[in-house]
Amino acid sequence: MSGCYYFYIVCHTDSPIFEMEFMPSAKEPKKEDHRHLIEFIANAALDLVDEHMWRTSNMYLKAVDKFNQWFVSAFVTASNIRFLVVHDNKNEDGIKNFFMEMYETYIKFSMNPFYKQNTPIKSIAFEKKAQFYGRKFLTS
Amino acid sequence: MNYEESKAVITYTGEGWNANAKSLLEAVGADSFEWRRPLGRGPKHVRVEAALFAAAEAPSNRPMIHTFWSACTDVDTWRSSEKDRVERWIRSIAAGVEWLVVLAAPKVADKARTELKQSERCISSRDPALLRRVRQMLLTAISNEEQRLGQEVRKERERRNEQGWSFGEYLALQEQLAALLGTLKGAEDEALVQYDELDALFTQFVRNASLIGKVNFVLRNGKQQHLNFLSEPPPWLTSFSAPLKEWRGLGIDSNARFAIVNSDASLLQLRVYLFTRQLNLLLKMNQPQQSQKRISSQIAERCLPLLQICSNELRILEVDFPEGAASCWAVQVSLQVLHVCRKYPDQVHSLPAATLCDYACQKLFQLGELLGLMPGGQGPSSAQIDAALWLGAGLGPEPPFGGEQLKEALGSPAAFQNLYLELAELALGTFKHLGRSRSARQLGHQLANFHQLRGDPHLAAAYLSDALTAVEGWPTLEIHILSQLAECLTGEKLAMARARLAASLTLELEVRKQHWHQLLQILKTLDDDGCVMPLEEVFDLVSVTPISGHRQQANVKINSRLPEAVLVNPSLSVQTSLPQVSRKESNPRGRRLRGNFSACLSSEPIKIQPGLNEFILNAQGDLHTGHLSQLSLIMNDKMDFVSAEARLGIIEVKKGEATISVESGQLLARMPQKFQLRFTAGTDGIEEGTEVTIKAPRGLSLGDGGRQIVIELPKTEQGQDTVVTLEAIATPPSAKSTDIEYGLTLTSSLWEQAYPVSVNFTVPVAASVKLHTAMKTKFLQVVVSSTCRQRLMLSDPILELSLGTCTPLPISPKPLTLDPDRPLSYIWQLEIDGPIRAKFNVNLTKDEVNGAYNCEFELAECATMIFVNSKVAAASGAEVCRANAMCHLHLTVEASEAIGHSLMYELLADQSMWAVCGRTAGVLNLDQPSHNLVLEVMPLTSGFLPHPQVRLSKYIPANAGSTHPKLEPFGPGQVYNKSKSLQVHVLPAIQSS
Repeated sequence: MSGCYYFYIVCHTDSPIFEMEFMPSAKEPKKEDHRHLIEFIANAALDLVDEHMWRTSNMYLKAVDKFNQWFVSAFVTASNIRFLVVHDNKNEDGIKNFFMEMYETYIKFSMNPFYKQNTPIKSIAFEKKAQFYGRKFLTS
Repeated sequence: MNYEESKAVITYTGEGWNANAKSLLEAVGADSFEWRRPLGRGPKHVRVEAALFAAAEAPSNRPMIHTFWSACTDVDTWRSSEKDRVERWIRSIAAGVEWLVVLAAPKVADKARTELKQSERCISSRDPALLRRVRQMLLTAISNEEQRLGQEVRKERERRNEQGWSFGEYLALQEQLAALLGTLKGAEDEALVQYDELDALFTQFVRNASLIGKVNFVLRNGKQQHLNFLSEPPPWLTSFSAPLKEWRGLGIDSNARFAIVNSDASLLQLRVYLFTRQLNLLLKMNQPQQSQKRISSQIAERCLPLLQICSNELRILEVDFPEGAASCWAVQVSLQVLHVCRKYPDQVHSLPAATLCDYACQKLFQLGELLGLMPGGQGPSSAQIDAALWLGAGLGPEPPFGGEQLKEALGSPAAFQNLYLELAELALGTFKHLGRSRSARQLGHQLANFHQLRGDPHLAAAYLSDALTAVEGWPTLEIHILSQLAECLTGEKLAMARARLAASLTLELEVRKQHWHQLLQILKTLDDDGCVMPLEEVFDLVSVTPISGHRQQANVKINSRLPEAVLVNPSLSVQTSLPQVSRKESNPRGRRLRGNFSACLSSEPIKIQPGLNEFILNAQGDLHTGHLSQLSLIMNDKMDFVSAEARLGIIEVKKGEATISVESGQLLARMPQKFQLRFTAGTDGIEEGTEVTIKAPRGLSLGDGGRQIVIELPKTEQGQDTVVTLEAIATPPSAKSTDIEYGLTLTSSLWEQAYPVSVNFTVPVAASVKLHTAMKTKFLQVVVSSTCRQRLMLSDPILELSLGTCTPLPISPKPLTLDPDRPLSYIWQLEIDGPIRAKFNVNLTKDEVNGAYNCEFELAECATMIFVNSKVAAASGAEVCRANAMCHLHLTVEASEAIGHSLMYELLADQSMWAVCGRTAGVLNLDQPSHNLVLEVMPLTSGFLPHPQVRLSKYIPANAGSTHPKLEPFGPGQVYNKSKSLQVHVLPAIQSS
């Protein structure tokens, strides 16, 4: 299961408001217990994200946590929304670019006056963008 | 290796050595001294302690300085014997070793300095610089030794991949260096670095060993590189793969060091040895002047990676050990480190300590499960007791840093549980204190498992509920914890948890059904109060659409996530006023409150299927306009799913009255016309036989000709329409206006006041008259044109005169068609004297509806009074008129009867055709009936030219009333121009040759 990426956007109340997984195209779809593990890792990394973000002025925190073969890379937006990617191979630049593009996309999305902060993002356009950038920077 | 054994040495010899000298030298370590080091490393302040030995007893192989203490006090003795002794002593000292001669008297010292030519190495025992000198020399000696050892260490390290190299020997060498540095107070960190290097080197070896078998790295350029040195692990490393017999905690064990040096130690022995050394150094560094925080937190911080690396290395090196031994060891080391940390109270609660605690808890939990020490079971089996004893024995006799608790805990479940709780609560408290809420909740989750086993579901439920809040929104985590939580709950909380689980889409359908059936069982046991649960946990409220009107209704769409159909009693509360700000009663049943349902929409029980459902709720009783606020679905009379209070929509009660609209095409005046009144029933509908009185204004007659009629309406439901057709004739008072608006007034019990409606009528035709004259005969032409853009049939035109008679010119007796763009004319010959007053009437037919149009005309006096005749003839001598030749205009004016005043004539010629040469105007006195005038005109062009016109006007000469004469025109038809429209043939002018 190498080359998988699980992307989460976590709001101020620690709930994920957006999630998406990126697989290399040849891979089988994941199993449920796998998903449980990924969620567990991502959730547990939040403490470390909160700690790391005060240590640097960068938004991109690089890998903040590691669990077995899984890394957790994080990005914190200006409004303290946390982007997490759980991944199992190193791709620092790709993830950074992905985060930057998603940040841009998220800003645009959150400026929609009909979107309420901290609520799940349900937008086909947003999903398409995420998929596009995922393919471009992560799984390609 | 003992630091005492590595201390620098000061040897003494000579008679001058006494107790004073000894106490003097013992003060060497009392003060720090700047240590300048080579290789660009920064200076350090260190204190040097030295061991004193008589020259004969001094140990070799240690940094050393030699001192000679002379008792000689006078210069003569010095010269005679002492000098020789000292020189002999100096010669006995090996090269490169520092020495110092201490003389009892300053003057002897001066002498010695000059004579021995060693001014730096001869000093009086009373000289205050003595101690400084000794320290300096000690440092130089240590520095030299350090450099020598350092070089050796580096050399050895370079050889590490060679055959026959042994980690144990290398360790012994580097430890010498570490021990040497350890003797310098203030340079312990340097010593620590040596151990860190050893640690890192070993770790790297094991890492490399783990890569064996994967050595064919594909380089970036696609070539494969075979790394030889990784082909097999060095032999010394394989010795660490030996099965574990002991898993002692921290502590220095001289046997262990011996074993390590001889490559005979176990992995844990090596790790423990290195870590204990590091720990000791850290504790040594922990002097008051140093930063306590930094060091003591380092202890815990270093421990966790050690434990993790070790468990990894045990796996990599495939070390055999009894099950649980690694956990046992990890717990033991953790306990010891925590015990050390406890000496620094602020550090027990540091993050590394808490993480370590957390780790120890996990390991302890595993141990507990392995050995049957967990609560709730039947206690350990005999096999488990054996295993526990075995593990306890492996811990060694007496751990030096505390940690006796583990042995105790392995022996008794109660002690074990106490230890576990103690550790868990310490970690939990620290995590909370440091704001690591998620870590705390995760640990709480574990702790909940423990309490659950212990038979304390309340406590477990509290921890799990807390953990549940941390994972809100993470579907699988949430369900995982919730499933566990369900095991700890009872009553309504259990019912709610089961409902949530049954509605969880992340679970398998079968599992959800199980939860659902359990829920149904629980509901039977609940008391009558039942429980209130947020609707969103189980259903998605898709939409609530109010249907406003007479009957208040709302259409509700919900999506059910339950696995099976459920029968519910739905109701939807209506809030008619703003919510009052009042103290609410505390809600004992949960977060969601059931609002005020006294005004609500509801229906019969309905069956909600899994998936999307749609149903309609009706108002019960009289309602006012209000907001739809909360949806409640009550299941089995016990479980109430209530949505959050929100404004879901406005439900309105329309107290609306019936409304009327007029529907008609273009209505024509003067003809019976039909139009429709559409009655739209209001909220109350229209009763059968409701009477409506319609009053028309003047000029409009309804039905049979009256201005008021009464109609009866049929029964009409709310919002439905009834159409009533009315017939009316509009008779507009004047013919001038073409569009007339009539206001109808309707009165009925339907309305409190009269209801006004307006109807527009258009006059269909317009008529105009023209008077025509032929000598004395008069004709009247009536032109009828359509103004309504519709085709009408006209018949029976009648002209009535107030004076005189008229005869129509014969026309077809059939009705004539009047098209919108083609007017019709009727002509009558008049026989009349004086002014005309006429009434015109014509019958109109349109689509077999008959009407009439009439109008009146008045014309002033029109009898012909004057005849004018004009003729243009060529001037005398010429036969024809030619252009540019003078012609005569013969003008004859005859009056039919005597006119009491003069006439003015004016010649109005088109100036492009005629040039009037003589008079153009003149006054005629009509005292005779006829006048003949000749005027001179000249045609300017050739062709048939119209006659110049003559205009006649009444001439009223100036008199007393007015200073100027006045002209008055004649009325139409009073002057008849006989030669009107005559033309003159004018030939072209004769060309003058």
